[in-house]
Amino acid sequence: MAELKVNNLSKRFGNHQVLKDIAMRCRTNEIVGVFGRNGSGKSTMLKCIFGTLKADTINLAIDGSGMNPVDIIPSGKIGYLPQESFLPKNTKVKNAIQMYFADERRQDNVFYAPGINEIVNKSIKNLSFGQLRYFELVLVSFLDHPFLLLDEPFSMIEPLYKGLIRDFLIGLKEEKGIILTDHYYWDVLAVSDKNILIKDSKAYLVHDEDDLAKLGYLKKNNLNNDSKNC
Amino acid sequence: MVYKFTDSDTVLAYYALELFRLIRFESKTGIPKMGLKTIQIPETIAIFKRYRRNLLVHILDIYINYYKYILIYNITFSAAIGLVLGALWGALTFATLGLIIGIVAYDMLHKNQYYFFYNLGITKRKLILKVFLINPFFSLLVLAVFLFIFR
Repeated sequence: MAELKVNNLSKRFGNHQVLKDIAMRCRTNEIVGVFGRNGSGKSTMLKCIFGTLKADTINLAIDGSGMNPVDIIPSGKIGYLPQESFLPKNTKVKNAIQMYFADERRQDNVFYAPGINEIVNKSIKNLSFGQLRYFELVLVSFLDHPFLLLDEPFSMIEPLYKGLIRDFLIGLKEEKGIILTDHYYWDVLAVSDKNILIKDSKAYLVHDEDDLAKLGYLKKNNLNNDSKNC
Repeated sequence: MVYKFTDSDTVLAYYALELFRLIRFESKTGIPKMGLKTIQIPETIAIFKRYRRNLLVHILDIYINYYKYILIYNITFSAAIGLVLGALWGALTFATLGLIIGIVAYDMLHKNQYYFFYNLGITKRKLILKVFLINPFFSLLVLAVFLFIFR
């Protein structure tokens, strides 16, 4: 079982301390949900772990071995689904799969993933937002990284694809550790094993929506309404 | 930083050597320098097709995907320079400043697409380095076309 440990993660933009001494741990077979209001530093935290944003301080270890964040990308230990689409628009879905996977058997795994068959001959630019998000998730997930960082995979997705993504993530965690951030807290809580909330640059452990309400991420009234809707 | 050679480096080195061999052949036989007729395009395509199934070229495909975006900006900029200052300046710009313009334009207009490569373990530094290796090959082609047309 692989383990990703983050300690002492701090990041400041000018005078604004976004993250301070954040610590978290994620193991394979585990989904960690990360909540926080807009600008609280969720995406910043993921980028610092992935190494595309330089943290002021960070101690990163995978399976007990310390790693410099700049070595994360070449090491292939962590995959990252950014908030905005990252696929070249003029590429066909089929070609993107072939470009990501040299091995034909692995290409087939992606081709036969639920929902992919319907879009395989389309160009990336012709996919709906839900199709694109789901395809990006599938593409990144079938790579060999033991850990995945997912930045808002549920945002603005129609219910059909939300269900597909939820089922896919539950299946995926059998072999990967996943850190997942999203404002759609019901979707995150439905798949996560543990959760943290980032507030005032610090991380708090939360278990359910009541904890989120206590820490001011949700209003009590909204919570009741959302519960009724679900 | 210690640079680690990868499979795609081997392919690039192969093509560079192949091109070098053709140029050397031309200079020895006295056939006009870099004339398009002497670059055996069908043979080169056959070699490429044979390698196509190979994992190495699969990796090269990924770099070409990045390079083709840069190529569009580079060609646009170099063509503009060529129209103002002349064809030779255009060709020289393509080999030098145009490449940098292309990289900057990609950085500004397609920044998020870098994650496409990051997930494959390819850093931005490595991409740019590869583009600097690929571009001289295309620059020679541009120069050859220029010499073929205007000699």
